[in-house]
Amino acid sequence: MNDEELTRRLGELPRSIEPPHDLWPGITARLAPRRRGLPRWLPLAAAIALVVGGLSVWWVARRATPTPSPVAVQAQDEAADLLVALERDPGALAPATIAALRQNLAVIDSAIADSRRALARDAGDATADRWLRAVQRQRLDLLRQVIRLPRS
Amino acid sequence: MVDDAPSPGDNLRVDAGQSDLVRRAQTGDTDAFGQLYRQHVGRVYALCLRLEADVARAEELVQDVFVRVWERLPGFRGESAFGTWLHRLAVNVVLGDRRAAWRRERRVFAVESPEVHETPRDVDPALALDLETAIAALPPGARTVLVLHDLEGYQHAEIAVMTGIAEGTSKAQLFRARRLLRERLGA
Amino acid sequence: MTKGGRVRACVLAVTGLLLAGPATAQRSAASPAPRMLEVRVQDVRGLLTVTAWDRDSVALRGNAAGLGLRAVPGAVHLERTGTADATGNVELLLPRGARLVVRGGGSVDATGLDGEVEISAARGRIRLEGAMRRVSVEALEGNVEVVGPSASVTVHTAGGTVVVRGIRGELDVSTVSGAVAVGAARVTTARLASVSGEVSFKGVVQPSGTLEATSFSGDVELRLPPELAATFELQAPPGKVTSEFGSGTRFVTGRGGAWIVAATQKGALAVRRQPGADVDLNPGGSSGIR
Repeated sequence: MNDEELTRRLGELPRSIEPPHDLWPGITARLAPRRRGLPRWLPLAAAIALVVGGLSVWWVARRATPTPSPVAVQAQDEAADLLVALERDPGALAPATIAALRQNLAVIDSAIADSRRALARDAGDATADRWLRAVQRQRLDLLRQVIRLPRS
Repeated sequence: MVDDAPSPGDNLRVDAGQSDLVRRAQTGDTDAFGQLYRQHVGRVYALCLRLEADVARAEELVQDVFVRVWERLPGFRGESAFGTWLHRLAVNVVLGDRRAAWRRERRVFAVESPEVHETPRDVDPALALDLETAIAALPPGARTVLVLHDLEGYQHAEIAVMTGIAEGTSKAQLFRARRLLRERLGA
Repeated sequence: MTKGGRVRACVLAVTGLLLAGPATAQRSAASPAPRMLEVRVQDVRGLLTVTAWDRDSVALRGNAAGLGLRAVPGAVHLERTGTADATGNVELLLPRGARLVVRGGGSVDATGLDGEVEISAARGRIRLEGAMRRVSVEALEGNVEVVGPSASVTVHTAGGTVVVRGIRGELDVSTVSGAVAVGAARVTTARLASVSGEVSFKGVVQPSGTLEATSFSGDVELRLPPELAATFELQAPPGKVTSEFGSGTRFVTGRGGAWIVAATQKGALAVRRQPGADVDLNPGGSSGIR
């Protein structure tokens, strides 16, 4: 089979497949009721400033920078939520773990700041843009990982 | 449910209905959210199934996706079509889950599903099953890129951002996936 | 803990549990293991030594005070009992092919395993040796070392150094500040990423395979077979690139096939020829590659 034939066959695969079971009951059971009130980002910024104090230079400056792509926004939103989760439940993390997290977040945030400075000098710097995304991705992964770590 | 690319007119009709559902779901209307679920579950399940090559896992992930959609819905500002936004979020959920070291305990005892995929009705069943099975048998990295690029239409730059690999690696993985598929299907 | 440093030898043979429902610890003859036995270890402090043996049972040796083995269908759990602070050294023996899952605790030293290994721990040194089917480690600090012809290795940590030697398959390693050193490797897909740590790779990349080695501010060094046919994509600050394969940011050797991406934003990048790159020059040894 040549490449064209494979492309054709791939194109014929259905884009939509019905799941074998009705998954809605399992989903509704997990939907949290909506809370009203302040926009999501407002309490997050305050929480971050309180708990991890001064780490996220780029985060605080987020509102001032050009709009990132939808994918990047989702990643940033999730990173913010994870920090909030850590803030809500810090007691279950050992002090040494929190210290290690801070140290490593500082390394990452330094790299993020570096990339942003490069982009501020030259908005078309594709390499700096690529690094910025990569390091932001690592930041998110680290936070997810810390959340998953066993608490003892 | 929107399967293939609709005409621009169809888009308008679909989006108008969706906008209303999205607005209502954002304020907490679970019935509206249920309708959004029914409109999009097929696409999401197809994505999860092909990325994970495991029916049970795909069903778990579909649930995770829609729970995450519900949580993030207030932040959806309409910069892109809702379907596009939801789809990207689904990809993030699947790829994010992969990095977790922990599997849920019941999956330790998972028995191989007797049938890996549903056979699509309007395509030669033998051919389709062959191709779906071949995709499922690809190594995870190659399969991910093939599904995202050739089936879901993402560009390599987007795949690089979503998966954390370099754009060049994404291209190489696609090359590898297609070569392995052609070999398996009897080139 | 025992007094006066005397180690209480404690052997618990947990057998006959593997197929039955409600289970109790027995000291009886081994029974055939199911397709996959999971051995789960929770919060065992100190050094946990894990050894695979040719029996269909799980046993515990060493200072086992405050620890207990509990059986559930298809799995055995090693966990703390009561409030006793279980520290000190224990050795866990388990069947080859078993799946080892470790959560929390201290250091882990495992040898001879050929099943799956999953470890999630904030600190402690982790050393795994064997031909494991799949390895997955999530840690924060503490060094991680994986030695042997495993088929799939994933290590995500922040501060510790990661050393992988002898892998034969897929590799995914990321650190924040820790160094990454991979040697005697033969990979189909490899992704090595750090933010400030140095990244080094010595090995073979299979035809149509991919290797991605990046560090934002650390140095990146690749040692690859001279005959490698690949497309190279190199990125580093001007004047900080040494390449024995070709010049420029993108070039092809031979007929291409493999894909090599190496990048650093602030460090130095070196891509060198190394005959026998996938040969382990230090088999059975521990510590660094070079």
